Amino acid sequence: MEDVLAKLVDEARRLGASYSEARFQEIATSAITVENGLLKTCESDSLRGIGVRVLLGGSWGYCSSSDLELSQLRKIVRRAIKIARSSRKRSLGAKVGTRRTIRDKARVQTRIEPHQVPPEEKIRIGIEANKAAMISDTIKNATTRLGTFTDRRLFVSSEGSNIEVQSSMAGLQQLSVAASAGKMERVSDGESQCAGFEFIQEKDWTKFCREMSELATKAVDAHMPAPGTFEVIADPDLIGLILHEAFGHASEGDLVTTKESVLQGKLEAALAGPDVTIYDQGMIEGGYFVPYDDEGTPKSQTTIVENGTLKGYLQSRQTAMEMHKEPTGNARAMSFDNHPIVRQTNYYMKPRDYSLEELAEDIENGYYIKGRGAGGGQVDVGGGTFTFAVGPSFLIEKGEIGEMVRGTTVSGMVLETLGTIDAVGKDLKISTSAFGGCGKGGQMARVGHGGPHVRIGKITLGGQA
Amino acid sequence: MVQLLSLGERAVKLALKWGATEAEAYLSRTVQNYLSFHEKIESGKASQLTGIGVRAVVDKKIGFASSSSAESKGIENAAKTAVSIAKASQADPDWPSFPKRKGRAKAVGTFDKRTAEIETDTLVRKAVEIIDFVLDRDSRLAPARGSLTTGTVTCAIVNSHGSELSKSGTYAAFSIRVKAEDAGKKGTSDEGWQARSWREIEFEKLTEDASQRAIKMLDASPIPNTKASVIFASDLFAQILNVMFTRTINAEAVQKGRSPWIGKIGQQIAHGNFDVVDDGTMKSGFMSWGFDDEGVPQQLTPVIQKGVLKSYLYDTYTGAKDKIASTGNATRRGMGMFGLANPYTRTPTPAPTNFVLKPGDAERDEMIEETQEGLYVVTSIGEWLSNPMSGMLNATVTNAFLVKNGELSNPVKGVIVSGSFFDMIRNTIDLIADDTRNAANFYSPSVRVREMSIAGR
Repeated sequence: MEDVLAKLVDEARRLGASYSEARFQEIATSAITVENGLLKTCESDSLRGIGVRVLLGGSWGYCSSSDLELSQLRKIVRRAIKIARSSRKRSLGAKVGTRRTIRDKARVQTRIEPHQVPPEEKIRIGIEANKAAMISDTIKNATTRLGTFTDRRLFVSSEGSNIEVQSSMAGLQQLSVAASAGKMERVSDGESQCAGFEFIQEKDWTKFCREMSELATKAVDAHMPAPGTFEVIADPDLIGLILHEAFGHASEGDLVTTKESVLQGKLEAALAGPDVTIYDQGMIEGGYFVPYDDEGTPKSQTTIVENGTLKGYLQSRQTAMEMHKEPTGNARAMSFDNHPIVRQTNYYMKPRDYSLEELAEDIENGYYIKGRGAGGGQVDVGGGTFTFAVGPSFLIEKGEIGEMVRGTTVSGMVLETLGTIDAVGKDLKISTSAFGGCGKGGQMARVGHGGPHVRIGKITLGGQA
Repeated sequence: MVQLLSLGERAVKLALKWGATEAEAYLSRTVQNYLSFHEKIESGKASQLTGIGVRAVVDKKIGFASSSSAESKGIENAAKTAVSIAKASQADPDWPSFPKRKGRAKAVGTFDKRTAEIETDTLVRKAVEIIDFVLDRDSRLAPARGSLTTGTVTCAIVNSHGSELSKSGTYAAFSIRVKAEDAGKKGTSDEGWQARSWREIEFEKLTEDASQRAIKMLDASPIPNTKASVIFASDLFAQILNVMFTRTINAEAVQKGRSPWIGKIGQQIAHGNFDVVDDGTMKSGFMSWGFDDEGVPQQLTPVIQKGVLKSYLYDTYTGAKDKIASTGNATRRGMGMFGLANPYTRTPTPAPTNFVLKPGDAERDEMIEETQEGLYVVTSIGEWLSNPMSGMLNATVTNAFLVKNGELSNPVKGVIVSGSFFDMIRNTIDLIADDTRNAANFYSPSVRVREMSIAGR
């Protein structure tokens, strides 16, 4: 396959591209869904294809196909060239700079390859976990999903680089629906890891699924929080999501070079308290596996905020050239039929020294907001508003963590919220998901996020008075 | 198309040969052009993706496998894997069979030849027009982000009961975000449109709307906590209908205990002015097709009539369980478990086709004029995070205007509008406008809610 990619890259150069790259991707997945004790689906998907990206006269062209015949592939090169040529009408003036040739292979270490595990074994684990979630008549629905995938990517560029990255993941997700006194509530959460099937075999999923149902049972009888702006503590499951939405997207280089982001022009500005340090890192325990991005740039640790000061942005080769910075390995593509765009990898906050009790101590009237059972978030990078869902959470009164409240929606302003973080905890947890990720420009990317417990001075909760 | 059908026939034959008692092949081919831009053309893209998904049944045990390779080896692998999964699987006593009902309904305006023929150079020309329009309009304005998409989907369904169907449809989409900058202040505004054909899209009007609003949003800010009337713009409320009904109005959710609509057929769940239909064949509807994703003709299904819940949405499996016919709502849309969005990688589940809230008789401007104190919300983020089970609706406002004595005044952003969606449709939606717009396959007019919580500063 390397030879085919090299041919395509050469063909692009022959047709006038100043830079070209070809990517081959092969994905194999397996998944089962069990609902209310019965197997609902058991499936296996395999997907492969090639994408070619060319740079010509400062404009990009991208074309992809799942048909891997060489004659078809030559067509996609010509198509990519044609797209780049017609885009010169309003050329981006894109440049990629020069770089040393990289030849490398990297992969997630696995002990048990998922495809070697017979479907019977996966079905047995799924059904057992699912049945454990059916704890009482209050639980009206329990859905368990168990999934694994392997994603192999080959990258060849006109600069002679040749990189192969293989990531594997396994995970389980539980949804529990409880009904009580005419009200319903749903809580869902999962755990995933970059690993082989051993991750599934070695964990007690019955306990995990039972806990999710217990949480749904408590949440359905809980009150909604009062609407308004409060002081809160966010747990490690949630702080990652907050950083991702409240800050991560606004620090993406492509939104900065176009001046869309509210963080544009803010390098070296003090945006947060001295305790706040934020990194984006390609490989970290608990996170997703990104040793290289989809432009072949090695991804290491990028410092975004250091002691409250904005230190850098996430860069692709092109945005780095525009800003006279170095690429940070953040150009990522969902799959072979997408071009790379600037994305986060594992975005997290560095821990400091507070315990949870110490964080709560000074809060007169606020909330301890939790990530378990949350459902994602969204940001308007230009307007600077972000929002995310929180799972069942707790009231804090006079320094004490009190009764549970239902999950709700929370929002804040990118440039304000980080500045109100006044204490950072000492724990650290980073997590990722096999089942979904972050969406941008129609592309889904797997990301990891996390941090310690963090106290935030001002955040707005939606609720019911 | 002929080729897809013959590949499907081969897959079904192979699955039967290897021991399936029933088999079905679904093939799709998507050809798409996409262009993203800001003040310059950012990236153009053309892609084509073919694939097959095979469902094999062995004595009521079901297996599914898909492959992006539509060559004979890929077809073989998909069929073989589906059969072997079925054999390893557990029997589902409720399994009826693949659909035996054949034929197609009449659905007009689903394929537009001109849209199918568009190539990237047309998208580039349109992008340049839009960029120039914004830049020439006002020196404070610039296009921050835009995209143009056209595509053609062709699919074929073959099953061992003699079903052999194929269909082809086009789509076109436009999105634009305009930013305004003035004396250190920033404002942004989004507009978009999704349709079956390129010529349906009013590029200039949408760009002008976003431009006007971006300038107004320069002065937007949150307001203090309050309770007030809220007017939701049509396409935003269409999106809210999507969030609140897609996962719960389908018969699967009802049968499996994850819907608030369980046992509510024949009951008053909404105000008498609330009428909703699922219209699988409406002219040029975003999800209009002659037949659904398992080969059953699509149809018009009344869902809510004068506030009374009339029907859930069924595919063949859930229909058999309730002893009624499928309503033609089997779909393979949406994001799969691993973020794979290609329809052939999905097994069918019941979901809305074109979900339409019937317009009322108020004009939107009248609705504003009749509001003493309220908030007119044009765009929001995170409304999709709302909870369809508890009915709790939360939307974080990005573009809105205060309404004072019947007139639009200060621009607002950064507040959360909250309320029970169930209460809204039962009691508090007191005006429905006549300005229907769609957010993908959801169609709604603007609506006014008498009172909602607004969480602000």
